[in-house]
Amino acid sequence: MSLLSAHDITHGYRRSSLLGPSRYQAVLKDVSMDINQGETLALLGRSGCGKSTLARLLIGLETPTRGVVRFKGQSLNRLSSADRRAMRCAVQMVFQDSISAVNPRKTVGDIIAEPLRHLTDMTAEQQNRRVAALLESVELSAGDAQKHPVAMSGGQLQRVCIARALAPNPSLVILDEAVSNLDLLLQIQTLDLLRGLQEKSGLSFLFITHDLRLVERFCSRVLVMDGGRIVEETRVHGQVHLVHPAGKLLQDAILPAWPKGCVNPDHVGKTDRQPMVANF
Amino acid sequence: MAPSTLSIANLTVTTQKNGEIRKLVDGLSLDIASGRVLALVGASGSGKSLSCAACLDVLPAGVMRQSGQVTLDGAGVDFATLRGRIVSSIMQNPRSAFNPVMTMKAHARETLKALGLPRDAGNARLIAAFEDVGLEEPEHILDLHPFEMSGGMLQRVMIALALLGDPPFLFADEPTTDLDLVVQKHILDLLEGVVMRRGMGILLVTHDMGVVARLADDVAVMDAGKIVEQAPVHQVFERPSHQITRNLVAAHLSLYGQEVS
Repeated sequence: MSLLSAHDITHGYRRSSLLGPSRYQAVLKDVSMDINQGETLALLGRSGCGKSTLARLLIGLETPTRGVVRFKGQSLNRLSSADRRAMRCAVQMVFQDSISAVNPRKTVGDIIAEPLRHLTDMTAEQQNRRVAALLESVELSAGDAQKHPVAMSGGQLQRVCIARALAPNPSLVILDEAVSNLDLLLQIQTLDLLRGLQEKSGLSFLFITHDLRLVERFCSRVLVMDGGRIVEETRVHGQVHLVHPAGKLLQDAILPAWPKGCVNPDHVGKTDRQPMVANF
Repeated sequence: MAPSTLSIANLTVTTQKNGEIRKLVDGLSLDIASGRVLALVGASGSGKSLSCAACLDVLPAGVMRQSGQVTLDGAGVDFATLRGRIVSSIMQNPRSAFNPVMTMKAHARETLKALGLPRDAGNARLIAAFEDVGLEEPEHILDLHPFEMSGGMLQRVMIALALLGDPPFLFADEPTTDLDLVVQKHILDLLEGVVMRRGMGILLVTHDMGVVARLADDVAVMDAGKIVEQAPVHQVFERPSHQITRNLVAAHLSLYGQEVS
């Protein structure tokens, strides 16, 4: 059974204007998808194609206009309060902009303990121990719990957000462009870190991005979105060849590995990208 | 005759914290040649953007330019005269670079005024500038506010405005970091065209070695405020000599399943 699934979801927003009538803008049209336990699913698309809206619906921050989201087979709208609590523990999200995703007046320890306070019955002592363990699992030190967000760099803060998402032992983490704001070295380190956590605990990831290179490195299946629809689905085994025009556009936009006319003796004639084989 | 080399020498930028002076940029020297793209790369916080800001006299409060000389084809000039006429700049986040209550036409007029160009040279000049950067329906765009436009369109307008005064040099500080990959490709193509057609010299600040591979002719690598390696782009990719450079190139190539030699 799939962990989380969407069935024929349609969603839109009403844009109100001071002048003239408000207009309905459709964002998602008949989207169906599912995520299984332990897999890393990529949601690939250009900005404005509805990726983030889909993520918000999947995690229950909004209710779709039409269609239904199911968590372990049960509709999100009909969950009992105990099941809803379990769902809130099981599905966590990491946002793109880590600075605006944390309260600047709280310490890092408080930020990471927040889901523990609301979703678990841990005592303060247990929470502190869990926070320390989480900080170490994202390669920060337990002492960082006393720091405030301003004292941390963007990469460190994004790890704090990841630690917060991992706090209630989720089975799925939604990464909404969670690494796009980091520099490349940090992006790769963060993805390797997440993959390590996945190997240990069988976590699933929904990885929202517009960078196909990262999909090839990190994901096992990819959904391509365009104009509010899922237009292509394919498994990832090393290099991905997309066929839909929207996917092709993203594929063609990948930057070159080597400068033009580069004559590295090891790579003469090898212009094809040969990505690392991701988990599958 | 337009100048062909902009040289920055011995640039040091400092800040004071608890009575202690810290060097953020330490003795940086760069030569930017017209018709070429010099990429300034490094990890976040290595001082790339501050070096740019120091040259243009737009340092944030509490940060000072302690020393530095700038010369144009060997003749010394003042930093204050660079911005606008000799060097124009484009920023990372186009949305925060525009005033949300002003239309594109108002922004363009502001730029013309600052350059001392006739404000009423007519819209023709603006429309030509917008067309030049591949914006469709330029007449329509003049009346738009920033919120009505996408990030890619705004970045194109910013480039168009930066080129209005026809400056010989352009500083581009992470010009594509916030854009999606397809728009990034368009903007990089556009910048390449600017170098080819106008013979402009570009200082490109970035942390993405893919952007460097696509656009740069020369690369300067920064770490902790200092330049640790400076070489033509081929050499940096094929034979990186400093450890910082190796790490950057290796991380980039690992995305393509390749290793640094």
